[in-house]
Amino acid sequence: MKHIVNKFCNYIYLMLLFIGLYSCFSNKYEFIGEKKVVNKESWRVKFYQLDEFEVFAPIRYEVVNENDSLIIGRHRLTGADANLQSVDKFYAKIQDSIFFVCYPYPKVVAIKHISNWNSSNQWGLIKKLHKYDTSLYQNSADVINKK
Amino acid sequence: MKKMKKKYRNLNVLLGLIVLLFLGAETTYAQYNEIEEETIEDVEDETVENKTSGAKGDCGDFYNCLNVEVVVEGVAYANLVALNEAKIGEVNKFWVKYEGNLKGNFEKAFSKNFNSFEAAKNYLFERKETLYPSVLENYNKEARSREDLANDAKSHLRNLDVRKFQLENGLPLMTNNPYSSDGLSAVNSSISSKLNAYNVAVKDQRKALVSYDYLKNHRSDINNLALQKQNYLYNSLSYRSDKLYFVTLQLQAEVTSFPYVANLEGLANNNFLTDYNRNILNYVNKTYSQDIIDDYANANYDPNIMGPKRLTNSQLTKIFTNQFFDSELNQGDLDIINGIPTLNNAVKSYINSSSIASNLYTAFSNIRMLFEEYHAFNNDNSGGEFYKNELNSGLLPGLINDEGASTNLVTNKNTSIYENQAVLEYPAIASLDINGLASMIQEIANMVPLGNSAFEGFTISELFKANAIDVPLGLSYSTLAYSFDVRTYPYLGVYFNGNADVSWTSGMHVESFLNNLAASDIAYNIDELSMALEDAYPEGEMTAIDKNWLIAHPNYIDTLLRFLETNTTLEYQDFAKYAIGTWRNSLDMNFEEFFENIAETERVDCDKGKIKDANKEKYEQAIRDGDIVFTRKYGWVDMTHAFTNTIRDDPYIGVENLWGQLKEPPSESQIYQGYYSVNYKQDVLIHGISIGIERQYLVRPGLNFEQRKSVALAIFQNVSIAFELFQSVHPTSTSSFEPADLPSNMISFYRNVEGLTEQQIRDAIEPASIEQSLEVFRLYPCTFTSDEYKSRTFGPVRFESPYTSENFGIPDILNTIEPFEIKSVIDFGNADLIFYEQDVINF
Repeated sequence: MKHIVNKFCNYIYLMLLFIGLYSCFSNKYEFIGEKKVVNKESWRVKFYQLDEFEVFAPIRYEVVNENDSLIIGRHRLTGADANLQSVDKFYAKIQDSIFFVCYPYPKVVAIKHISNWNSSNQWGLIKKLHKYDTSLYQNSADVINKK
Repeated sequence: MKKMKKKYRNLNVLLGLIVLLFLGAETTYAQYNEIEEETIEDVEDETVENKTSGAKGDCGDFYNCLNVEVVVEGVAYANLVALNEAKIGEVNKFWVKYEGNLKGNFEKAFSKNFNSFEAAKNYLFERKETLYPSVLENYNKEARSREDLANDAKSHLRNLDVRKFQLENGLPLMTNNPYSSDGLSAVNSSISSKLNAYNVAVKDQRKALVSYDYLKNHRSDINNLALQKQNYLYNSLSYRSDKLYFVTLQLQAEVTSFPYVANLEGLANNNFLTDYNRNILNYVNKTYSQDIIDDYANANYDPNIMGPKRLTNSQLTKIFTNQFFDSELNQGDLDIINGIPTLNNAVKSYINSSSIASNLYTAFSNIRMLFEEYHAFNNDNSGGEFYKNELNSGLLPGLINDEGASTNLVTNKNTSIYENQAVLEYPAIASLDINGLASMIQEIANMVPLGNSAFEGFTISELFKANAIDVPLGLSYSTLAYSFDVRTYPYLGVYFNGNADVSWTSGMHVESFLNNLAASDIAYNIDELSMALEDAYPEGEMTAIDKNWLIAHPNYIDTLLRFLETNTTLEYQDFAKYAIGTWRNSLDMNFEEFFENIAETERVDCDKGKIKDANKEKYEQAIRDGDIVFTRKYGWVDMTHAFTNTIRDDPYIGVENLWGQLKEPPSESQIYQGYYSVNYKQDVLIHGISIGIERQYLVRPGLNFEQRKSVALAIFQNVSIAFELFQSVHPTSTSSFEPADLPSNMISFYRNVEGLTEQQIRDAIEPASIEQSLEVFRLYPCTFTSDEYKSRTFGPVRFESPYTSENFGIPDILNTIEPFEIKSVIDFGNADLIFYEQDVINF
């Protein structure tokens, strides 16, 4: 009996889903929130996630100053559980002119020297940060050959 | 909340549409009318309030009777004309380019060669008659907008004819008088450079004539073409015709926003002119006809100088002292009035001929030069002195020193004012921003003793009025003037930010600010456009960059709104967004490239044309960003699938948790009726509701470590397939069973279960570079959308390319585990692994 009820419920759920799914998921990057950059609070990191029906969805980020002018345009950050509702677990900081983003702390998912914004992530800089914070480690997802 | 709102916006849109059927259009137009009326009332009120009393008095002496206000406005009018001349040249280029391109575009569209643009259009119209007989019915549906367009065009064309009348009848004051080329050379040898500039101005006028001719000869064709395309749209015809329609609308917009004409109308309707100039306009408008032009030309011809007559000194006196309004319009007065447009042209040309002309302050200087030279011509030192003093002390103190005017303007650039004037130099005026203007006003303000209210408030206000700077909703002229006084408010942006949320940045061009379209209209339209394009932009509204560019180029806003009038589907929005980007990056839209892009898109015929531009760009961007990578040995890999681990606090989510349930043998307490339970799910969490696939499996205890790996893989693959199937029912998703999906899932599985490092995986699959990946994608542009390449297996899909390895296939390190066979509950008691039950939604 429980199986029958479960199946019946599933059918109802599916009907609701067809209606619901149609209204959800823009398949575009949606703004999910922003974080102040530790040690440079006039800067903020804005986070965007691809709004699609997937288990994991890519995250983009951009850095803006107090006037909302772009310091660095939108860049790939990492993947994350789809449909994030907040940016609580993100962490952005500047230390010794090294900008980095963690998700979640202390896993570094982006790292750049501010004199070289346009380069790809400079993972070697993590070692320099270790003199302040040994727990930081590199995101394992960055295996892309960005030549 | 905002996010939630966004999530359900499509439902809201549906409900909204129903409401709009009853209320929407009326409300919109009502609001619009309200804004219009309010603005006009404001303007009128303020104008009455600020209006000067004039300075007529005893006019026995020419200079004593000089009405500075009239001069200011006359010059400002001429100044405005000068600005518009520059735009005429640009519009002309635009038209010429369009005509050339349109023929080519028609040829591409119909795969035919045409002898001329006319032949192409004829073909198009004939084609319409034979293929789409329902077109006439739809014509009626568009009657209102057609009528509006026709009225606009009619009105603009009438004024263009007036313009032609002015141009064709020459510039009397420029012929054989002190303001002519010869006369100027005699005043100062350095003027020769200005003469060159004058020649350029003359060429611009020639271009204006070309523009006029184009408009005159093509206006009906342009209108017809736009209407034809509109009807094509109604019949939901080809994709290409949509684009052609768009191009046509662009033409239409250019025609109906012809700058000179629009300014004339704006000036006449908004009390920017005193009766002086308004009467000129009225006279010209009312009396215009081809016969009268001819009569005028004949009457105005002076056989002694082999050219148009120039005004007499007494006529000049009357004009500048406004006398002709006080007397009956006898023939002498008519002569004067007939000469006024050409006088204004003369002033304008004179200003144009100055290398530092065509801004307000230089215009003042130049008009002073004009009078000084006039005075010199009449050997009347006292009168010239009077005017000079009047101008220096009462209007723009310090702007002009006591030295010769022309040398003054050329050589005395050592003060900050002149430095700023240099910035305003025509045609470089487009490079001046609000900061520059505010700075210049500050410099001038610094020269005036504080408390001089006449300068601080009224005079600046008049300057802006006279220059046809429109006032935003709710602002008076005096407030506007004070807003430019940097001691009070540094930037005009302060007000615009509070008006329809328009971000009017400090980079706003003065040229566009001087344009005729009311600021409130721009604010309203950009707001409308932003809403119409919300789905095309990731944040739901246009980027600040696009918005600000459009504000500075309001004609494009109009074009886009028209384009989106009949259709706001995502395809249309994406196209409009593309157009903005193209325009913004190069002001001349490169239609050759544009149509090549369309042609390229049309070659991509994935699933019978279902692929959109947006998808192609989306995947190319994902490749550029490194989300999707082509690998030599393993095909396409979705990096997000392969290398993302969940951080959700849910024991059944993620490969780590799946393997966590199987890594160790079960405890006794876990075993029930000879099995223990393992759950795994792949889902999306939406506001606390889990939507996806959660399955429960029964595993028989006693399996060894390798067997448990096989169980884990079987469960992982089983749920992955189920999730992809589930995904495929999503009405707007095209991403189920992409060739990168399941192979990438396998990387994620082995990474967690076998503990593979990224370097090991990288070495095994050999990622290609981004450029190489793009190259492969372009070889197979439907890679991620076509059914042809969908993959329902966990092995990689081979795409032949120069970068595909001969050793393509599943790398050994990703092929060490064989999945267990999953049985149903019927085999309960016999099977080692049983699929027990499934949930789709969990609350």
